[in-house]
Amino acid sequence: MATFDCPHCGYSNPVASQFCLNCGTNLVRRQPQSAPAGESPDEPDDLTGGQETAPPQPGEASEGRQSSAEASDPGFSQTGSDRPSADEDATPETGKDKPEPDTARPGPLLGDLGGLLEPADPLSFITSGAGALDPTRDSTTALSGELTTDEEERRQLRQLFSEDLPLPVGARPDLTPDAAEAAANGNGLQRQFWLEMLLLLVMIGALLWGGQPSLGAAPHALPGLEQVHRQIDTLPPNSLVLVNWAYDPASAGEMDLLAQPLIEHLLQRQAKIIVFSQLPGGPATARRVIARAEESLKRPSRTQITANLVIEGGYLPGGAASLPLLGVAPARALPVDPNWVDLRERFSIAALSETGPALTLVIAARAEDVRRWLEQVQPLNDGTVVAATSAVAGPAVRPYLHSGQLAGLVSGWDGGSVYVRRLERARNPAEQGRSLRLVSGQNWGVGILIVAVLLGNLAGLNQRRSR
Amino acid sequence: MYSSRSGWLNRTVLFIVLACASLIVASRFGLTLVPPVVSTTLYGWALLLGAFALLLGIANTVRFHLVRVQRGQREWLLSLLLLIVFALVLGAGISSPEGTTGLLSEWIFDAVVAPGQATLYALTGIFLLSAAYHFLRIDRPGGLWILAGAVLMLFVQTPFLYRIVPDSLIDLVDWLLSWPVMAAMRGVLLGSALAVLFISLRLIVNGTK
Repeated sequence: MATFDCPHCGYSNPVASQFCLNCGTNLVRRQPQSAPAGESPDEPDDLTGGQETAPPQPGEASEGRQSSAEASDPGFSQTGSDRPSADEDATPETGKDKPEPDTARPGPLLGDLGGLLEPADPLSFITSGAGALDPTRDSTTALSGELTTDEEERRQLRQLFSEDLPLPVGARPDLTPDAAEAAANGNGLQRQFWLEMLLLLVMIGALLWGGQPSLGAAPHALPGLEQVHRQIDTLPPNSLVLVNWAYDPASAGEMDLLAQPLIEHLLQRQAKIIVFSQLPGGPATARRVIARAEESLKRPSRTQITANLVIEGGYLPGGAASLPLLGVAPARALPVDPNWVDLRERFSIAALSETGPALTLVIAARAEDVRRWLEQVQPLNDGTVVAATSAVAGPAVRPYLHSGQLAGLVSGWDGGSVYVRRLERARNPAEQGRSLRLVSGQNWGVGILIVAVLLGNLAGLNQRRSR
Repeated sequence: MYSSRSGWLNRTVLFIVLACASLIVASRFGLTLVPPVVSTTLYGWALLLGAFALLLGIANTVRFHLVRVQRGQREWLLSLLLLIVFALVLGAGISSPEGTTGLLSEWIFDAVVAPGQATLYALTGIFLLSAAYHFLRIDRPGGLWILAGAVLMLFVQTPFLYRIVPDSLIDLVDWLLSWPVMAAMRGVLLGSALAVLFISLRLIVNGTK
């Protein structure tokens, strides 16, 4: 590995080190720069005193920049340890000890296009300053804290995310007594004692009375739910249904209310469900929901039902890159546990490769997972896709419903509630009560949020006007 | 960042990446010159690489925290805790013939993972509330509109409020979601796709000139 001796203590550091690992000296401004053409022969080429030199970065420092660095850094003068020996000084013209010419160094991947693995500076994409877009900009200088982009642009960027007018870099904010107090004690609204007490009371009330089923009435479903119900309801028995389980326990509070009625409906239709997930916690979450769905339908036993109707595809790593394989060769992509699958189910998965699934159900907390499926898999197998998403993902997915790429969509726990009402006849009373309690709890939670936002805004408005 | 690879190796890697990308693009456009088995094989390799990257990530995490503990760096106790938990969960999975569906693994999932993740996610509500206090202010420019939109969406997504909210308001929100919001979302989808495409190309060709 290429190393660079610290000019202060002599410790050998990797060339990419910004600071000495031993004494902490800033090495960025002391790393050797390639000698520009026409440089004075009196100036030694190799400042490391024979150590291996670091390969240059594309757009490395020019002569003028190096000179300015020397001028600005009093410590840049060569010390005894890094000054070349007399022998090296005696033969600078021969080029024997000079660094290799540029053509021999590991250059960029394409000559004029630059390095593919070049580290990207996000600021250069959101600022248009000459400094940011200068291809000869020295990235080591930027790393060392010398800002090369326009400060005014940085301030404008900060202004986008700040409430008050931005201050110049380095300037200290003028803390009036009120502002200082707020900064010390947090936002003024959060110090409203009565508001905190009210929220606490509402939360306690939600815990005490949240289980009343009467509060979970009259849910509202957006368009798309009818299509999902129709797609599942028209499935012939033993149809292969691929289920992409794209949520884990983090969002199970909302998503279980959506997933369970859909799984129940699929089981009612005697569909063969192949479940997989791209989240590590997905398969375990799916197992629990499927078990509850089977219990709700009063099936004989979980083992029998699972062996007959549900195949656990497990965890599929690789993110979006591995999804296309599900479109062209699902039997190769699904890591089915051999303990769960007998010969008949293996044949079913093989059939999945030949005919494709009769229906694909994407149960996703994020719109991204539905979008990935519609872009990476659906064009490859031309299958029918329906989705169940969280309420927040609904608006982002809905354009695909209107374009026809998505055959149906259920979103939000109100959508799940409407779907549940279509399955009332098959559900057992205990499960109905549990579902209503969950919906009621969600209602209380959102109700608290609405009250808190409204009261907090009013209190804040009143407080600011009274000052 | 310096690279120690030779230029020859870099060019070889670039050639392989370009060849794979060209094959995939050609197969997605339905060009017959690419046999389906080639693209299927490449997709399979992507899956393998994904699994291998996962293992590498685990190994890197373990190594990183081992070094922290070994050197006694700041908050090394948390690193030690992470390593202990990692060893316990790994042991629970390996020791059971059922693997991740074993009794101990299932208990860990039910008693630790699921409640932990749910709790962390539930804190989002608190963050949301805090953000609302800071940014959803009526007296900020445009704040009233943003606040009204947020509260309106919360209203119509809460089933029990349908008893309070008039039907006309629900119809209004349905219309908003079906037309202006969808138009905006389509614009966002198209715009973000184009932006990702151009930024990717810019990164690949280093087009900072």
